[in-house]
Amino acid sequence: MIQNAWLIPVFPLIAFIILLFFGNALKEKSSYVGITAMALSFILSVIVLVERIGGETYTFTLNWITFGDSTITMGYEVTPLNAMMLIVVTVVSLLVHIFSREYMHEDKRINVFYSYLGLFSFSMLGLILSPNILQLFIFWELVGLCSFLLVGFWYFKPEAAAAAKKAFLTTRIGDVGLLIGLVLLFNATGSFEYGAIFSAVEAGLVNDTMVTIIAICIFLGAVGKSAQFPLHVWLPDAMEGPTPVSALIHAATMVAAGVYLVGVMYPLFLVSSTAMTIVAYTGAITAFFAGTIALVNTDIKRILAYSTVSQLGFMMLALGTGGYVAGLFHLTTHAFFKALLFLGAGSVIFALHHRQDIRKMGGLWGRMKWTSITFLIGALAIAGVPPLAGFWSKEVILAAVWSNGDMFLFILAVITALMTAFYMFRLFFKAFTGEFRGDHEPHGENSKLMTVPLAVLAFLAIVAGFVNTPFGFYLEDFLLQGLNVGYQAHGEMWLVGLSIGIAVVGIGLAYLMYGKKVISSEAIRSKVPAVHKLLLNKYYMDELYQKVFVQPTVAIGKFFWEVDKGVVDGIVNFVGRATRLSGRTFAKRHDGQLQTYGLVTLIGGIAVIAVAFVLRGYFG
Amino acid sequence: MIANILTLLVFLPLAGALLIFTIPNENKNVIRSIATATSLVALLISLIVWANFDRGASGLQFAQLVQWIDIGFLQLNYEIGIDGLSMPLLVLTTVVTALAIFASFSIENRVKEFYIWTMVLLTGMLGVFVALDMFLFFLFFELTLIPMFFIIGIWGGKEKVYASFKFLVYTGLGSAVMFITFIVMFFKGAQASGEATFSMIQLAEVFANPANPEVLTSGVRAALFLALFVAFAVKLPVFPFHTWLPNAHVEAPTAASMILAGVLLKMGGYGLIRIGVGIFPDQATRFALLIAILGVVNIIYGALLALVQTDLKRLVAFSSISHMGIVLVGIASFTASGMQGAIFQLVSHGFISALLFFMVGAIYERTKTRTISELGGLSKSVPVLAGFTLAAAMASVGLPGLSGFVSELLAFIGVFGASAEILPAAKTIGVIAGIGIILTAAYLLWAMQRTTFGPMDEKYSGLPDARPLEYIPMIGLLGFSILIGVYPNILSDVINITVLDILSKIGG
Repeated sequence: MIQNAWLIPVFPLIAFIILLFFGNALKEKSSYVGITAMALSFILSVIVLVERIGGETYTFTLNWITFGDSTITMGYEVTPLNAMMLIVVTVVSLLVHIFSREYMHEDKRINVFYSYLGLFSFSMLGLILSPNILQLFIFWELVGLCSFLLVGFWYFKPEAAAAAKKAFLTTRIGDVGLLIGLVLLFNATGSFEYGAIFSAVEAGLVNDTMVTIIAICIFLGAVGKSAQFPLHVWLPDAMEGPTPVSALIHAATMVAAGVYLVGVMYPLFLVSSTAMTIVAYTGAITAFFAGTIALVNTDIKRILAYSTVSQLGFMMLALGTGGYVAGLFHLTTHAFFKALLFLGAGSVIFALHHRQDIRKMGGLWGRMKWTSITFLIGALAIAGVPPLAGFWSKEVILAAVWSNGDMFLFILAVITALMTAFYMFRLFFKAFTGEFRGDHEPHGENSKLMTVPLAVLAFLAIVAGFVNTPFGFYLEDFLLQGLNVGYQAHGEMWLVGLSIGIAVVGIGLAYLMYGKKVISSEAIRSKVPAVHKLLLNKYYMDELYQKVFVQPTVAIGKFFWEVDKGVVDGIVNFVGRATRLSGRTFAKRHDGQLQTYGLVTLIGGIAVIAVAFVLRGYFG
Repeated sequence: MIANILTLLVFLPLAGALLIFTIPNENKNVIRSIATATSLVALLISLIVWANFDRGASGLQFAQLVQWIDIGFLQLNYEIGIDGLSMPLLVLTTVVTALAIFASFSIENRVKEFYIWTMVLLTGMLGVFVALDMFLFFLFFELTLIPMFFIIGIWGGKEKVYASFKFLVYTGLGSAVMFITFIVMFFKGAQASGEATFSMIQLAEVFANPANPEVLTSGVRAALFLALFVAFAVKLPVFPFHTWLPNAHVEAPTAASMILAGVLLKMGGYGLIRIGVGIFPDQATRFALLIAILGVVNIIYGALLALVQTDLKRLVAFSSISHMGIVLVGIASFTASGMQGAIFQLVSHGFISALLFFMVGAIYERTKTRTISELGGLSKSVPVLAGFTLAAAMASVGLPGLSGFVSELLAFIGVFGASAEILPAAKTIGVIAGIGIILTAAYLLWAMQRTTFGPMDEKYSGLPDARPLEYIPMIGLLGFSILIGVYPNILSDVINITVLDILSKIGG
């Protein structure tokens, strides 16, 4: 079956095409088309993974374009890494498809929604199966398009329209870097194929400076897609999209593509210690920086969005410090528990008639049993409480950072982990415990269409970590087949203790402040009002970009437009003034225009030929 | 029949024009049918040529040479033929023209004249792409100018007279420069080789291997190349010769805008490669840096101006200027991928810009406005049209899976891989072009945010969405863009050997 892996992305593509043409007739039934396609993809992914565990890497290619004596191919490939990713994407996508059936059922354009979901799933799975970096880039852009379409799904809301544009444009900045990187790579190695690239690099055919430049360019793409500092600004705004989309695209899959990209290109990064350091520092700074914003935000989705940015930074930090398996392991566990948290938030938002402010929540525990329990599991998983999934992956990340030996990075990582536990439980206690503070009672627990996906994800959030524990590093063994990515650090006992300690302190602090309320958050806030304001305004990054990039660009455009009309065109008009005068004269006449123009043309033509003859005499 | 098929293709539209001439004015539908049928037959013939084109052969195919005028010292030949450079442009011309005719049925005023001019225009465009004799090339080139002048002047918008005269004077001056250059080339060639000819092939040999180096000094050849560059720069257009284009586009009727952006601009790029690079390869490489710099100026300048436009059609016009910069950058790299990227861009932009202009026209027809701030929420009022508009914008942005991406990719591979001797600072140029890609996304997405997205103005509720006939150009143009984007081999297959032929003269 592994040679039929190409069908995995094709199923959702077929769903997309069916819904494109027949969606209007199918309406709500569109969901069944999408769910069926994803179920097929999921089943096939499981089969492919099982075959891959016992088998070899499978590659298929055909010619795509030829220029000079270069030929670029396209195809698909099943490696350990992408076999694992197929499972992650198809599981989350399938559950989101099911969840959306209820969540979106009141929307008249539910068929459009499912068609976009299909297109996204196709693109994301195509990205994963790509056997070369150009094909990855092609699908990379297509998932960006789907993100654009889905963030702007409620296009009539000006905020959604603006957020869609911002998401596409910001990631586009990184993508140009990535494009330049892969063009440089092609010119240096003569190929886009991973195997050929790595052997050329290992053989020393590309000089070190070039490797570093290429790696940084490629990383720029990852910075955009995975919302790393300073291109993170689009992801929180992308929360304008429907919540299931946030869970699928902006938490579990697409935004992790940047981490995946660095993972796929890891042998290249390993050659350049400069590039590795940049990856590590970008990751650590992003993780810390986004974590601080999440501390004060009051919108349930935006808190989760900043948390996602922070966790993606964590993964980058792992990759940058040599933790190849650690970073990709965290990608997997995070996909499950963050999708769970987002869908949980969706369940809450749905029950609360689309209100997202956690200050207007409270007391949901008794009102929405399944949502509350599963959300708590997700929060415990991300906080790093053993034996849930997040604990295991976070622990190996800390081990990788520690063994790398940079104390600054390690301290940032520890503080981030502490903040993560704290802000997640601030959210939990504010939304789920205490008194209900909203004005509209929630309509109670949602239907099974929504709670069952939550339960499945909660189960995964508990068990997904068991694939890579000190009792058996199965995932590590699987991912490292035929790959040399250096020493993979494992945690010592004191690190395990520290991890647990961090989670306990973070959760405990949140409990004291927002659960039991023995520490007043108001008091802390009033002591450092400037800090609070800074965080609340997201470090004024949006305002800064407006002032530094957007407004000057538009101003330059306006300036050139005046120059174009005044100077460049002015000279032309001056030359053509006589023509314009005659034009005005003709315009007054209502008949015989054709003849007049014909006459003018004829005269003009004769003049040209006359000039030519004069010149002929001269040159002849 | 295959032997003279190009002649048949070129003059078929002229026959169509003559036929329309005999039909009374009132029979509008008969006239429309004849025009449609003629353009479809032309399309079919061009596809037959495409199918019979030998992809493995270098040199010219379907060639034909007839002595035409012989007055003593002056012999004018009817010499035509195609290679991998002209083949795709031939199909582009028939496709865009046929689909533009589908977009012109709403024209009710002076229908007969409109289609006569359109048919003449089609003959002119096809002739330009098959002519191998420079005099013939010039005649066909001029044959496109006059119909377009009348189409803009008669069927255009409010400022049509100004726009049409600006178009005529401007491109006419370009033609004058071209004509003079051709004449000089003719005499210089005759002086050097003793053989008077306008044949591009023969002149290329004469200029490549000057028998008389005192006549064909490097300075003379440089001057001739630069003069040719200016002549074609007006058409492409290249900054600062671009100002005719926004006026012409804004005033032209939809079908004319489609042809203007879709095909006429391409004649500039085609001429530059066929005659400029083809006859003066050494001079072309000598001025590679200049060409590349003008290319990035076009890209950035066009994009910045597109960003601040308030009229949707003028925005698309400036996007054309920006996109034609990629052609220049691709050529200037003088690599197989860059040159192929330039040709890809000519073809790709032909389909995409025609689609964009069609969409703007369809929206204008319904809302009666092109002012961006007066539009908004089109996704609600006319969802199908909005969907295609968004798709066209994405194609223009260079989204993979659509043709624009392939040309940009090839141009980038070319410019980053250019030899430092031919193109110094190639990487800097590449990075600046990369900034252009970001700006392109910025102006197009911003325009989409304000037109297709956003709340709907109540006065636009109940507007009719796409009509069945409108699906033909929309699906046709987008379809070709997708076809090339998904499987570019279909095009590179035809182009590659010709590109290698051109580059073999560079000897680099």
